[in-house]
Order: sequence, then C-alpha cells, then structure tokens
Amino acid sequence: MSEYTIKIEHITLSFPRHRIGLKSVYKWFHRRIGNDLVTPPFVALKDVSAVAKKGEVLGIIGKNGSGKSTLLRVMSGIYQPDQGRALAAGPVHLLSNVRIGFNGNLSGRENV
Amino acid sequence: MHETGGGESTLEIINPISKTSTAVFEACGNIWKSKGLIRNFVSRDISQRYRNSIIGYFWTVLEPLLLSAVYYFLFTIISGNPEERYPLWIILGVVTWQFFSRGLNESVNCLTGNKNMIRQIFFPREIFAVSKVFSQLIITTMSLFVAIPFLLYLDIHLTLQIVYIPIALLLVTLQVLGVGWLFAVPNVHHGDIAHLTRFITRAGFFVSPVMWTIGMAKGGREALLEYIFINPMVLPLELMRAGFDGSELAIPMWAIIWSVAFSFFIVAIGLTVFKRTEAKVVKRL
Repeated sequence: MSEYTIKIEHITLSFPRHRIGLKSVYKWFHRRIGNDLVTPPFVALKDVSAVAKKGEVLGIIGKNGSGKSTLLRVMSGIYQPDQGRALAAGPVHLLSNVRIGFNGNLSGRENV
Repeated sequence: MHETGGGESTLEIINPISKTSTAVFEACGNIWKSKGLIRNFVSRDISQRYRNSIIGYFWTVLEPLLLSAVYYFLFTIISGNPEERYPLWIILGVVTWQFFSRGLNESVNCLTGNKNMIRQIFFPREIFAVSKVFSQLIITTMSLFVAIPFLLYLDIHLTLQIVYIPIALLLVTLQVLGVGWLFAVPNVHHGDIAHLTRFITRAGFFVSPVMWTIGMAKGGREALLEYIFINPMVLPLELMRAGFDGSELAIPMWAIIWSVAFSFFIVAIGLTVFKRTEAKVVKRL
C-alpha cells in the first residue's frame, strides 16, 4: 500500500473583499434595516481535495488566478482553510518566491 | 492531530491552531527553535537602521543625549534649579522610555510590517515581535553607555544595585512583547490600534516618571502617586535609576509585585491570544 505524504480534504478558502472601517458600520446599519450591502467574500478555493503519495510528483495546472499558489500556501500552512483540512507526513516548506526576506536597502552580503 | 492515512503513514494537520492551554509553551518552543532566524533578523534590523549614516552606531548614544538636553533645558525653565543628579535621571528615563515606546510600536505592527514575508513563507510569526524588541533591547543597552560620563562627573560609584538594570530591561521587554502580541492581530483588522498605541506611548511619556522621579512628585501629592504606581512602567524606570546611582527604591511593595506580575501575566495572555488568532488573520494582510 502507498504512503501518503500530503493529503488535502475538501479545502475551502475565501478572502474578505472589504476592510473593516466606517464603511462596514454603514453596511451593518443597512443590514439591520434589511438592505444587505455586504460584498460577499472572494472564494479562492472551493472543496478542493488531493493526495500526494510517497515518491510521487504532483502537478497542479490552472489558469491565472485559479488558486494554484493559494492552494500551495494552504498546503504549507500559510493560510488556514475555512473548511476542510490539510495534512502532511512531515514539515512542508514552500519555495514560491526566491526574493523572500531580501531587503532592497541592504547589499547582497548584508542580506545573507 | 495524528491520523492514520493510506493505511500506513501518520499524517499531521499542517500548522494547526494552538490550544489555549498549550499556546504559551508552543510559542516559547518555537522561539527557541528559531533563535538563529531571530539573530539574523536582529542583526539586519540594526545594520539597516544606521546604514548611510556618517556616525553610525554613535547615534544610539547621541540621540538620547540630545533629547535629554532639550528636556533638561525645558525642565529648568519650568521649575528652576533641579537637583544635581537630574541630568542622569532624565537620560536614564529617556533611554528606558524610548525602549518601551519603540519596542511597543514596532511589536504591535509586527504582522502588518512583514506582510510580504508572511504571505510567502510559513514560520512561527511570534518571532517578528521578538526580533523587533530584541533589536531595541540591544540599541538600549548601547545607549546606556551615555550614563558613564555623568557617573564620573557626579562621582557616583556603582553598587550591587547594578543588578536592578537587567531586571528593569527584562520587565520592559516582557511588557512590550506581551502588549505587542496582544494587539498585533487586532491591528491587522483595525489600523486604529497602531495610532492608539502611538498616542499612548506619547501620553505615557508625561504620565510616567521619565522627566520627573517619584521623589520629585512627593510633598502633598501622595494621593496622586497611588494612581501613578498603577502604571507598570514606573518600576522599570525607577529600577534603572536606582541601579545606576545606588539610591533607595521609593516604590511601595504592592506596586513592585503588581508591576512584576503584570509583566509575566501580559506575556502569557498576549502570547495565548496571538497563537489562537494569528493563523486566521493572514488572509486579511
């Protein structure tokens, strides 16, 4: 039988489209009187499930903005899913951007 | 957290939200494991701060010295001739308060200020506040050397009370970290928190014994002092002065216990709240 290294089950993740501010108080007031002005959240991932077995290479293909990077971020623990769960058989590290943590004001040596 | 998947392997939930009962221990373990990363952040933060500056690290001494000179001048105009040791007291007050003020403002902004890194890679997010506060701790320690010429001029000899200095720095570190962790997540939701923190640190400068000492506030104003002692920063400020000049600590025992208990309590509460809420707030960054 194969060993799973990563397993994601029914992952759903949405992002709020609005910032909390005076506008949200205004929208809350409208909701109280029956006018729902609240912008629904942006659903980036909806009920996504996948499994990667030991020694297996898993490719994720999709259009721009389809949520590939977001899924990888859920799998590496950056985002907490709203529903479902992500499991792994060890620590998961995401290398999505080689410039992470570099400070443009410092030299290359100082950045290391 | 463990589950048997695929019949054989043991899988764990990736980055689960900490339980309230274990959050503090988990966070302390994470901080200890990430000490190399913290060291790297601290050294980069300090080197960046004094980059492109002619006198570089000398600013750590010069800035509190210049500020204290202004406050000394101001105080002398307002209240006439101050005591002989007043310049030393004001410098120690300013250095200690700068540590509190900058450390608090930076730790409250630790998530919003590092959002690009947080959105790209996962590592324990509690270390951002730790690295910011440790940077300030190192700068404060360097700034304290400004007191040496005053000690020599005033002929003050250090006593065993010098142990008060690290205790004062520890208390400020704990308070800043605790409050920073407590408000870092709410600050992502409401940017007002950062503005409020800035106001509190500015107002606190005058309410706390920075430009004045507890000894100077006595004389018919004892009733008011009872309220002043509720401020947990009073103890570290007075400890710092007593540590350098060997004077008696003019603070009642209840205020000492309160300040120490508050420092540890706020760390426990701040860390627990942070660990319970930080994972869900990343998508708002």
